Amino acid sequence: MSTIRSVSVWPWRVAVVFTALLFLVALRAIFIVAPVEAQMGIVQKIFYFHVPSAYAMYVGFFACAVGSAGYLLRAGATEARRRAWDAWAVAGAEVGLLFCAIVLLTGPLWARKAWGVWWTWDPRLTTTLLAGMIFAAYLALRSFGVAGEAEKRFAAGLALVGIADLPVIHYSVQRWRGQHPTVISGRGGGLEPDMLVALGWNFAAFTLLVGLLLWLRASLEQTRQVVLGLELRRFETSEFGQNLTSQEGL
Amino acid sequence: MKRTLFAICWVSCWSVNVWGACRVAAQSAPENTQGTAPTQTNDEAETVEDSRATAFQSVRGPVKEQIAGGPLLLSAYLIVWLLLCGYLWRLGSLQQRIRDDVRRLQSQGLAAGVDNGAVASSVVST
Repeated sequence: MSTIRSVSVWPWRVAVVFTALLFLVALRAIFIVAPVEAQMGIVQKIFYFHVPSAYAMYVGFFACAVGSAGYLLRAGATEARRRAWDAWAVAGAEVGLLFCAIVLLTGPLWARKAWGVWWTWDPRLTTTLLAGMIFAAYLALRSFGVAGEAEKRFAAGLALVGIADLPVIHYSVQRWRGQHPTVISGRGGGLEPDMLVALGWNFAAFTLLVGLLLWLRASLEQTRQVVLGLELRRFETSEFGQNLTSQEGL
Repeated sequence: MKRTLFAICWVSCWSVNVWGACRVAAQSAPENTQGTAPTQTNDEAETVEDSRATAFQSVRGPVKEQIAGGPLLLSAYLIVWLLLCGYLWRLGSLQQRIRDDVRRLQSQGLAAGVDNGAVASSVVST
């Protein structure tokens, strides 16, 4: 029988407070410590949360792929373990898509100033949009009410297809001609020390944030699935459910 | 309705994939229509690399921007915080819905041992 076991909430509260403090430090580093960039001006400060958001997107989609692979490969595991893999997959897709939306919405605001256009079909932009659409399709598939085994398996396969796009996003600026900056890659000219400090704080803050969101969403998804299972069992044991089952000959 | 939404997402996803791949291939193709071998020199290759930003440098002295960056920066921050707050609100409403369901199941004796105050951090075991 499925049960819902509660754990203490104080680690969660400590993590939330610590993340909020880290974001305050990161904001101070962006607007007070980091200098204004010479060519683009103040709009370059979008960079400090655009890049960590892209990193958080990678983390989310990777968690989705790992959860999906676990769900598919551990078919013989207990129900609770498979439910946990599946919950991490759903959480990863949702959180990854959130940060993908941030990347795709803040990037054009920077591009308007830097490139003079809101959008261009640059390889990195195009492949990032593609990843967002693949994982949006994953979530659309999972939102079919009470997802059955077939929907879950099909969605897991879709996530594994989608993860193949992440290396393409990462290496697109190196392999193909494009306009996207490469300041923190091996071939870039790098950042000034104060800019690097601001970027480092933001990476730390976004790492904690994406971890917290994944943790919370996966916990909620596991609980939701247990509740759905109990509801389904209650329906099956009800008089109406038994009549329906006998009419269908099941 | 949801199946239609999924079908639209799926079709548009692969349409963008094919179209984007064609665009990338067209941009990456050498501009050589005479049938001769490509003759790109090192200088030309460096020009291509130089067209992409590879470093950010701090401003020195007073400068005036042609396109105001302030509103763009403000818009970007608003988007980030609105999306994050919106997602937290969604998680909160999902948590509340689950908590209500757990209370209802508890009252029917179907979910024994559930602590309503800690649904957010609950873990599930079988």
